[in-house]
Amino acid sequence: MQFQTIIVIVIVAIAAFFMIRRFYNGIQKSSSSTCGCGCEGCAPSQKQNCTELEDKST
Amino acid sequence: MDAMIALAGNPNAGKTTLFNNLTGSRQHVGNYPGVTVEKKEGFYRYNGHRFNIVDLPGTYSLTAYSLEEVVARDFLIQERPGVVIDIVDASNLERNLYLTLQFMELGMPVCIALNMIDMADSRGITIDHEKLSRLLGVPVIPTIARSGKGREELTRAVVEILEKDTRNTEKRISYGADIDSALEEMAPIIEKARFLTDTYPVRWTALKYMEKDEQILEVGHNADASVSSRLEAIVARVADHIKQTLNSYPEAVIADQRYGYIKSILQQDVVTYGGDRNRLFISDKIDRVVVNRFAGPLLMLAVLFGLYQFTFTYSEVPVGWMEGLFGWLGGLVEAYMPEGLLKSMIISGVIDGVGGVLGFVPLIMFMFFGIAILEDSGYLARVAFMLDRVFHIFGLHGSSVMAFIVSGGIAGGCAVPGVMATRTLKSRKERIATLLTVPFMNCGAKLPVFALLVAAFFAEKEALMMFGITMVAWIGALLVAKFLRITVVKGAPTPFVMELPPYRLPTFKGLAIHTWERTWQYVKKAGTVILGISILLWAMMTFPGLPEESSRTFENERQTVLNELPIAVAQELQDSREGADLSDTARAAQARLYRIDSAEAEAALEHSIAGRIGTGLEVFSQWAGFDWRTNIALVGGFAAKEVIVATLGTAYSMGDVDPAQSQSLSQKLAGSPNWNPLVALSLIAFVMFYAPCFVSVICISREAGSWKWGLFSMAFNTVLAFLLATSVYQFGKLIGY
Repeated sequence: MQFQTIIVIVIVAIAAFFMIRRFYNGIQKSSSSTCGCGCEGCAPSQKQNCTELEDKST
Repeated sequence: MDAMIALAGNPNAGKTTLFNNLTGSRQHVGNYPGVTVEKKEGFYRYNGHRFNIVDLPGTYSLTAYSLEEVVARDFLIQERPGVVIDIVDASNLERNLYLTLQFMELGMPVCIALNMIDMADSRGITIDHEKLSRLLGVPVIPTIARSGKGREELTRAVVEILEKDTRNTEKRISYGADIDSALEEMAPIIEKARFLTDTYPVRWTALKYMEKDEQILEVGHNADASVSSRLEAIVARVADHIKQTLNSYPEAVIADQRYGYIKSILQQDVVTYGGDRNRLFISDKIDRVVVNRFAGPLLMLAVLFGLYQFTFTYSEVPVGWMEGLFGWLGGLVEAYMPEGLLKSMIISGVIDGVGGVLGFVPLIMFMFFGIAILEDSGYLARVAFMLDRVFHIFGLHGSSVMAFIVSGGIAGGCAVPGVMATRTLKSRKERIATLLTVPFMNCGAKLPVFALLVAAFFAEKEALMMFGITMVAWIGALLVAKFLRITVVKGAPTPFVMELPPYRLPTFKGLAIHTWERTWQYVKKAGTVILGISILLWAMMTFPGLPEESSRTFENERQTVLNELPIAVAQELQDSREGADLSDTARAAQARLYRIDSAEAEAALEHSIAGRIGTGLEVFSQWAGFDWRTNIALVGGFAAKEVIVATLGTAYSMGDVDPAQSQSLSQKLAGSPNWNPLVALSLIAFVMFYAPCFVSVICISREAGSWKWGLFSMAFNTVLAFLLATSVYQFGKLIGY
C-alpha cells in the first residue's frame, strides 16, 4: 500500500470519528444541556455561554 | 470570599455589557431588548474575593409571564445569590424600579447599578443617587457599563452587602386595604401549613396567589391542594370585591400600588428634569421618520438594498484575492506533490472544498459589518417594531420578528440563535410556528451558496438578486407561518408591546468586535466541521474508484491516440511542459487526451459512493433541474449549508483534469452544460427552503420539547422546497427560459 494511501486512510478515519462524535454529542446533550446552542452546535460549551475564569482584580 | 452575584434588570438596561466588563468575557451585546434568553456565567476576582457572576435574562417583572421571567425568578429563588446587582436604566428610572421592588419583596440583597447615567445627563435628567439609596435602603451606584465607570464602586458596595449579610429582609409595600387584609389573612394559613415556606417567603407566596401567577399556583396545588384551594378562595373573594368597587382586578391594583410607591420616592426630589420634560429626545425625533407608517417601510427596504449593494460592491476585490490565493495554493500542490490519493484529497477535498467556503470570508465580513451597524445603532429594533403588525396578520407574534432577523432576516444571521430567541414567546403555538419558520431566513451559511450562484449567472445584478432572495425568504416564511397557524398549530394571537431602545452611535470598537466575532465563527466552522465533512465527502466521491475493466478501456483509448501520432509529435507531447508552445498536431492530440482523462474522472466520480447516491436521486431531482453533482452537495448540506459550496467545489475539481483551465467554481458552473440561470434560480429556491442544518434541527427539537418538531421541519421543509424548485424550473422551461 502506498504511503499516501495510508495517510489518507488515517485522515478520513479521524474526520469520520470527529463527525460521528459531534453528531452523537449533539443528540445526547441536546436534551440535558443547561447552556445554549451556538451556530456550531448545541454542546454545553464553556466558551459559548459559560465564560472562562478571568482575573480582573485591581 | 467566594460568592455568587446575579446581574438582573430590564431588557436593554446594559446587563450583558456590565457582565462583559466584569468578567472580561465577550458575550454578544445588542441594542435591542432580549439579547440574553438564558443565564450566562463568568468569574470576577476582586481583592482576593472570587465572584461567580450570573447574567440573567432581562425582565420587566418577576411574575411568570414569559420564559425569561421564569428563568430569572427560578434562579434567584433556587440559587439564592449573595447579591443581586440590579442594572437600572437611569433614563427610565420609574419603570426599572418596578423590578427592583420585586427583588426587595422577595428578600433579595439588592445593589442598584444606575446605568447609562451619561445618557440621562444628556437628556437633562439629574438623579440624586444618595437620596434614592437612603429611601430604598439599598446601595445605588451610578455606572456607565460601556466605559467601565463605577465598576470599582459597585464592586465595593457588593462586598459590603456580602459582609453585612442582609438576607431575608423582605420589603413590605402596602397594596391598599382590600389586598393588604387578604394578604394578612393568607399569611397565617401559609405559615401554619408550612406551605412552600422552604422555598418562598410567606407574604411573597400570598402576593403571587393574588397576582394569579400560573407557576406558583401549579407548584402550590401540587404541594398541598387543600391549602392552595383556601388561598384561591380568598383571592377570588377579594377579586370579586375589587371588581365591584373599583371595576379592576388584583393584578392591576398591585401594579398600580407598586408604581405609586415608586412615584412617591421619586417625587422627593430624587429626580429632577432640566428643560422641558416633554420635549422630544433625538431618538423620538428620528423615529418620527424612521418608523413612520409610510416612510418607514420604504426606508427599511432602501437600507436593506443599500446593505447588499455595499457588501457586493466592496467585497468583490478581496473575494477575488481569496480565490487567487486558493488557486495559487492548488497550483503549488499540483506542481510539487507526487500524484496520489493524498494530493487529490488536498487539492479537491481541502483547497477546492474548504477554500470555496473560505473564499467568501470578505463578503461575509462586509455583510456582518453592515449588520453590526444596524444592530448597534438601534435600527434593527425599529425594523422589528415596523414588522410587528405584518407578523400579526400571518399569525405570528411581534417577538417573532427578532428571531427572524437573528436567523438571517438580513442575510448573514444564524438559525440557531434565532431558534433560541423564540424563548421570548409566551404562547407555545406561536413559538412552534416561529421555530418552524425561522430556518427559512438566509443564514450566513446559505449566503455563500447564493453568492456563488448569483456571481455565476446574475453577475450584473448581484445586490438586486440578494435583495430579491431576502424578500422571497420573508414572504415564504410568513406564508408558511400562516399555513401552520391555520392547520397544525392553530390558536389565537397574543398581544405584544415592544420597547424601542434609544439610537446610539456605534463605536468602532463595538463594530469591530461584532464583525470579528461572527467572521471568526464562520472561519472556525469552515476549519473544523466543514473540513471534516469535506474530507468525508471527498472520500465518498473517490471510492471505490473505477472498475479495472473501465480503467483499462480508458487506458486503451489513450494508447490509441498516442499510437496514431507520428513519433516526433508523441515525443513533443512527452517533453512538453505546462504552458509550452505546441505544434497544431500536438495540441489537437493533447486536447483529445484531456477529453479522455476528463471522461475517466467523470466516470470514476459517477461510480463513487456519493456519485451513485447523487445519480439515484436524479429520479426526483431532474424535475427541479438538478444533476447528480448538485444532489451530492444538497445531501451534504443537511449537515451544514456551507457544505453545498464545498461539495460543489470538490465535485467540479475532481472532474477537472486540464491544468491550463484553472477556473473559479462560479466560472466552472457558468461553463457547465448542466447549468443555466434557470437551474440556478431553482437551486436558490430549494436551498432557501429545504431542511434546516443538523444543529438547527437539534435546537428546534430541544426548544419545542420534542423530536417530532425537528423531524417535521426536516420533512416539511424539504417537500416544500422541492415543490417550489420544481415549480420554478418547470415554469421557466414552459415559458422557454
